[in-house]
Amino acid sequence: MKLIKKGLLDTWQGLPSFGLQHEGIPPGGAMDTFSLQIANALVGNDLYDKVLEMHFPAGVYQFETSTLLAICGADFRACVDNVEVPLNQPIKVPPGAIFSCKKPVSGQRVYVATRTLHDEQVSRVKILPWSMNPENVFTDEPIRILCGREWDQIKACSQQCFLSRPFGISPTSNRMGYQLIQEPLKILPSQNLISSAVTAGTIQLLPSGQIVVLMAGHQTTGGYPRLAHVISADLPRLAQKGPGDSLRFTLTDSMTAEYEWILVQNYLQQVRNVCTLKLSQHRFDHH
Amino acid sequence: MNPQIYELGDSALTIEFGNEISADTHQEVMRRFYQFQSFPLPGTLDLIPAYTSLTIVFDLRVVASRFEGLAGMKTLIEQKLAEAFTAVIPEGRLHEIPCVYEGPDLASVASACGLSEAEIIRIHSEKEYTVYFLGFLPGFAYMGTTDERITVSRKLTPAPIQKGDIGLAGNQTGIYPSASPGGWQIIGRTTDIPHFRAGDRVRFIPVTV
Repeated sequence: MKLIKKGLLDTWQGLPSFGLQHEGIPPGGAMDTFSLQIANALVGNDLYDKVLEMHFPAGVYQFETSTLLAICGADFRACVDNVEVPLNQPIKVPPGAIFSCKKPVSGQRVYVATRTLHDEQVSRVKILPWSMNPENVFTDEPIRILCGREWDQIKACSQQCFLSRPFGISPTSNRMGYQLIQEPLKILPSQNLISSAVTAGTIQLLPSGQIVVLMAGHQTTGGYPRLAHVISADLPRLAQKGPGDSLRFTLTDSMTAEYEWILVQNYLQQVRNVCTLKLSQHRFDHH
Repeated sequence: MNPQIYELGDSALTIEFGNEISADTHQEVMRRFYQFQSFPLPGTLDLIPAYTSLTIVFDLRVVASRFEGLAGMKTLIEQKLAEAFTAVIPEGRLHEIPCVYEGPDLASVASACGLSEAEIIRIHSEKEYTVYFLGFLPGFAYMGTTDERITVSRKLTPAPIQKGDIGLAGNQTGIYPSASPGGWQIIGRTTDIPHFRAGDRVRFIPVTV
């Protein structure tokens, strides 16, 4: 893929890479790991392969070879050669085709997975006749959280507010963290915390009473009270929310968090298997 | 204090060995870091030592499907902590770091502490520090503890900081491995930023240019 015009924040992202946090190196990776993996599955890549993560305005790219691509995550009215193409569906494009995005409709980040078609010369854009519908993942249900170690550092009334009121998302939010917009929470007096590890999804309470949700680009350690943690299964959904969206939290338990994570992982594996089957069937029919 | 184990979200457990920063507690953190590194629990993705705690990040899929989730891992950790650990713990290396004490905040630190700039430099450079852990930025080493005479608070709003700047905050000192906004009081600078590991020892050697 050749860059024609740079986007606001286009980066190649895969799954988080662990193992170096003791050196202060965060795992990073895609914000919405679910869409990343669906995009990879649709083109027959490994689920963890790196794909292009883009924000709006997204970059403009030209394909240099015949390519199979899939666009997942945010709806930015993605186009190939200025014609809108569907999300969550494999698309074959000829060499020279240009990828662009028209306008942000929903979601914050789009993922474009590609695979070079070595044994096939594509002459025109062709949308393959199957798709994956991620509607059951990207719901408007409240984001599920687990209590953090310092959940008791806000007053009971603030705990109530936290679990009942909708939050806004500040435009200053980025890959490192989301700053939430709300009435400052009422903090109980407490001792200074000693810095320790944090993870993606950790909800930190700032001294001002404001809150920050750590996202994929978070630092490895932090010294702010940890009010709660977003469950891993809900992080992709949170990653597609942004300024203008409203956000609600609900408490869950670690059994549920584990169960939901297993469900998502099993679903992704199923999608990958189905897509691999479809692609090989398609190749067979094609030749 | 007996170690406390608590859940950090759905895929990590933190073992807290104490509730104040001390050399003994940190020694225990590092001992356990090497124990869990030498004999990792199933599904371990990361081991993150800090001042008084060690956090183990797990692959939730492995842990949840085969070990009864974090609750199961907690039991395994308790068993490990009860075992005697006799493997060799690597000795921390000593880094001697040349430091030009001409930081933009040296004067204000001196006046806040009621000392002269020369005294700040002498006090900061005569002590040997321990690298407690790395965090904040890749390669940023939290070192301590500084002499209580040069304890200073963080800046209220973070200022732009250059690569190699040496700062103070509370009873900690550290070197910025890359340019970044930061709240620490900058008293000096170095061009020599070694590859630190938790447990290493550090001395600052005053130099002039």
